[in-house]
Amino acid sequence: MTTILARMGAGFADPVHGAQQTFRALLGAMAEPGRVQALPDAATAGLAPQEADLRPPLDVALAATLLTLLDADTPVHLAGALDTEDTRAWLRFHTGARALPQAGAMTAARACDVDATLWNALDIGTDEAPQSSATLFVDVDALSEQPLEGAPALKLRGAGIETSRDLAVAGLSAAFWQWRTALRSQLPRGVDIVLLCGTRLAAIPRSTHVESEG
Amino acid sequence: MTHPPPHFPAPQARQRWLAVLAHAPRDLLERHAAALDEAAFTRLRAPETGLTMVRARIGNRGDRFNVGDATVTRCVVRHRAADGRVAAGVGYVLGRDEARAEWVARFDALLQQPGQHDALMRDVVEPLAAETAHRRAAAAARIAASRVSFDTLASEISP
Repeated sequence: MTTILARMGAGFADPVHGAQQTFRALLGAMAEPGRVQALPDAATAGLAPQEADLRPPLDVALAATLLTLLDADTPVHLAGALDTEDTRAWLRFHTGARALPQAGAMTAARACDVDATLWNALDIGTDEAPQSSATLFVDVDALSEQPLEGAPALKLRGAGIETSRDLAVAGLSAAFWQWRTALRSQLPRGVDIVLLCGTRLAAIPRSTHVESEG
Repeated sequence: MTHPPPHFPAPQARQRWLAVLAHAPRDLLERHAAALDEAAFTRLRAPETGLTMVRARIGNRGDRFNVGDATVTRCVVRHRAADGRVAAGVGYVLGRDEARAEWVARFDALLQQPGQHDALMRDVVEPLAAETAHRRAAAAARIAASRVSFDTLASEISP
């Protein structure tokens, strides 16, 4: 235990306001699907310290999001390369949350680890209890409202978008976006997706229509 | 850049100094803590106050029962020594005195640094332990004067 504690990464510099600011950004992201929200400095303070051995084991936006949403009663599934001893210990220390061995209501992954096995394991809820579905947090390679070279351009429509909104996401496979496009017909069942990159994040809630243009 | 690995003291020794620090009078702890170099410490968990369930056994032998909630303040700090060695210290104190929890955590971190352990045990922990022992002995002596023994009564009733 002491081994881990002496090498433990830092959390929010100010846990109360850090979590509140991050939660506000997540609310904004869910309300306006595809709009890229930058986390304010007040939220990210402490998560990117000067000393290398104090750095959290996750990227800033993903770290802030998990610190905000997790607690002792809210476990998370860390998929693929995210599932390390350091990350588990860090989440346990700062939030009290345990890691789940299989996909659960909260699932986090790096874009390269998102495959059919993972998304088919996600719970999409039932018509009677759509709220029991999963939320997927993906740390993507690049995220922008402007077109990006090498990143599939998405056109989003639906609640919270006046006409349509463009979003470029690098790192997720075409098969993933096909799965997500098909999933829209299951509404109110579905999966809410939060995309994170560096200190920025965007959300694609279940109600959003996603068209992938190559 | 390689740093020396953290040093691990024996659990019993650490339990003892943490108990001594947690029971130490505030003014003495503050005087010792004022001499520490603040810049060497980083807060891993800022002081926070919460509740913990205190459990006990009747007569120290019966079944466990919940006595009630106690207010506890805890803190975790990290200390980087001049040689780069890193130690994490924890402080748990009864009550909601955040400064005290942080002082305890700082001393705990320093006591795990081999370079400072002996001097701190000699200059801080042992004097605080002596002070607490003295205070407890004085209280015990004061209470002992009003002690009532029921031995005679018990032996007359039960043959």
